[in-house]
Amino acid sequence: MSSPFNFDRVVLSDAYDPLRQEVREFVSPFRDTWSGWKIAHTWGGIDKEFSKAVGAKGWIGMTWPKTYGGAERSQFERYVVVEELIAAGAPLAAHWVGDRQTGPLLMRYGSEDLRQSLLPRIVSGELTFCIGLSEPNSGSDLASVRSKAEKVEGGYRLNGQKIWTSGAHVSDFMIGLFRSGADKDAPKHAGLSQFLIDMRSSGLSVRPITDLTGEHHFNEVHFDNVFVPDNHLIGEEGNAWKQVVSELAFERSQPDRFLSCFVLLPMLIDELGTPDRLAKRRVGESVADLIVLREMSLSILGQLEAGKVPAQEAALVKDLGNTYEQKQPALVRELIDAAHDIRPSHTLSDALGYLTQSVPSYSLRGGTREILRGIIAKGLGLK
Amino acid sequence: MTTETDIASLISQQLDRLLAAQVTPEKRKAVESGQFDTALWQECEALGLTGALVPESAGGTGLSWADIAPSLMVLGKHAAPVPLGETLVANHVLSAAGMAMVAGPVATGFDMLTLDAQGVLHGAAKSVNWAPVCPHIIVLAQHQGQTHLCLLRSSDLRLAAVNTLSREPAVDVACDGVKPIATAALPEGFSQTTLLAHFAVLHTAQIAGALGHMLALCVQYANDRVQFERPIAKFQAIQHALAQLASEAAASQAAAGFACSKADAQAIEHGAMVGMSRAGRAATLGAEIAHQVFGAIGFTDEHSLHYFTRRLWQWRASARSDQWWSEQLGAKVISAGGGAVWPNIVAA
Repeated sequence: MSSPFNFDRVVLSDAYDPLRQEVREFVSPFRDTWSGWKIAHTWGGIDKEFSKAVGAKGWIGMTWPKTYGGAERSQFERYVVVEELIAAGAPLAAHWVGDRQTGPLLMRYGSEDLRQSLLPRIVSGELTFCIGLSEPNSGSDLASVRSKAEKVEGGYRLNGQKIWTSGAHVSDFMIGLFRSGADKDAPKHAGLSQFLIDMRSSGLSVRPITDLTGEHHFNEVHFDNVFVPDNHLIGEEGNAWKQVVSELAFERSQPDRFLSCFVLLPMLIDELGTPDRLAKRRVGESVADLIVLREMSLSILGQLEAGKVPAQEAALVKDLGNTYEQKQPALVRELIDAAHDIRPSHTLSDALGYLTQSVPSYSLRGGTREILRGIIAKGLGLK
Repeated sequence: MTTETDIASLISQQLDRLLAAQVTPEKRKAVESGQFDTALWQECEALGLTGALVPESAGGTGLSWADIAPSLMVLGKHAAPVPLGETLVANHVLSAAGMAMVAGPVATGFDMLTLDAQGVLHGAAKSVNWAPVCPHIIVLAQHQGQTHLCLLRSSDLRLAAVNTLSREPAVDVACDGVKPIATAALPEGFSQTTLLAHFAVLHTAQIAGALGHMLALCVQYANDRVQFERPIAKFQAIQHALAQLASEAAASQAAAGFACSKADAQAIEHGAMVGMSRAGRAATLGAEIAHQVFGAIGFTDEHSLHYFTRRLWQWRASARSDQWWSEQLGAKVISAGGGAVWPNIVAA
């Protein structure tokens, strides 16, 4: 049957069970020490020591070539590790960008010396990366970025400002999107380049932005004549748009796009007591949604592994996934009449307190709901 | 790909072509007024699908649920005015009881009757879809502490018409005093819920097929319909509504794939819980969006949209409701405790 999307079934067989078990045993003693508030951050939480422990297990860059410190394991094994860690509420942000984006980007477009110097240190969990995309006047309209890269002797000089840069204050490097070249008549998607920027560079300054949870994740990053050497240009000059877009099918379909609030579900179930019919229905719906999202996500991974680019399917999964995640705190409120208290002594209230405040960002980060629905509509052939 | 999968894919393509050529809104209207298209039924039967899930040793094709999922979706895509899916599932259930499959369309009652020591039935089977056009009906009955499957001849029964949302023929069947033409004990563990699950999985796939087709209809209409001097597809409100419809259609497709695979893995009840919970809600939202996009014309009898939306409303509530299946799933998940939620979700 012809269809504008494909979700052929891909199953993770029980051959992955030992790995799954290993991850559970690894994370369990850490988890016992984490507060509800911390667990609720899951992959968005920064914990460098934990990231190093994950690296020591060989679970960062685990699909990469051994030459660069990787373990040459499959994407499906990586998927198992990632979903298990997120479901346990593990803080992954200190290595998340390096593992998911920067490493693969460098392997595809980076110079050999950059690969050799950086990839093994990503694998060990030492290096933290941030992504410099948004600017004060470039949010959803990303191609309108104005920060400039100007060719100079031996490299480029960067000027401008990035904003909403998660983790810039704890990062070693940024992958930043800059406008290079001077052709004003070129289409705005052209003339964009990606650079690897050392966060200790002179002329670079980071200013915190406190978000509504009261925490500091976001930053402004200012560039005042920041020099980057030639070999820190990633890929081809002017080709960044294509390089950025090619990552999206992967980025938008992974477990972090629908498991961000999963930790609430087991806590909720354990507080239900004798559930009434409504509670059973709602929990059933939530689990059914999650199983189907995971099916869709795995199908996309299978297609990526087969060399396809299921961009349409990925946009669907992110939109459905974010919508799902955002409903989880409301589900807890509906079923247990939760109060506004945030008590460290009560894990659920602690986790719920954070997630209630954090969920509005889920349909903003990584492509807003409106942008995703626009992509889906275009893919449907709406003219 | 296995040979079975190749055969199954060939059959689904043939079925798609056949139904595309034969099924018109007039034929759907006709079946809703009680006129059964026997010729179309015979062509469908000739494709060999009625025994698709029956083992080869019992005269069937021996395909799996996963193999025939595309065909089940094709039935939904065309709102086929024949009980082909219902019959192939009924034959599958007959084979599970060790009984021979039967020729012609078969209807299934979901109520639990009793079969006394003399082999006579007591009770009624309510709201049996398609029974008026089926020479045979199967029902469940308790007999000597065991669940039995009974094959009944429709001409032996008193049928009282029931109106349903799809308007496909349905009846309440009075079975008091009726002797089945064949009876066999179902295997241990095959309960009334198991029977319902078979049909919930079927309807999950039909919903997925229908939503996919409605999405195509809506895209076409939005591109053609001009208001304010432009196609309504240009309006972001319409684009976003259709993006949501696409998401629901996609989710129901994945739900159907999951449900069929679980049916193949001796976990059909779990497949039905997840599949119908998700697809039932997709049907609800999908129908809402499609009607909103089509506006007044889609609300008319003349337009064919309602043949799909009324079937979505039928299928989400035919073998118990999507709500009921959600409740079963929730009860199971909650009773296993919070710590078991994740391991059970990822269990292959």
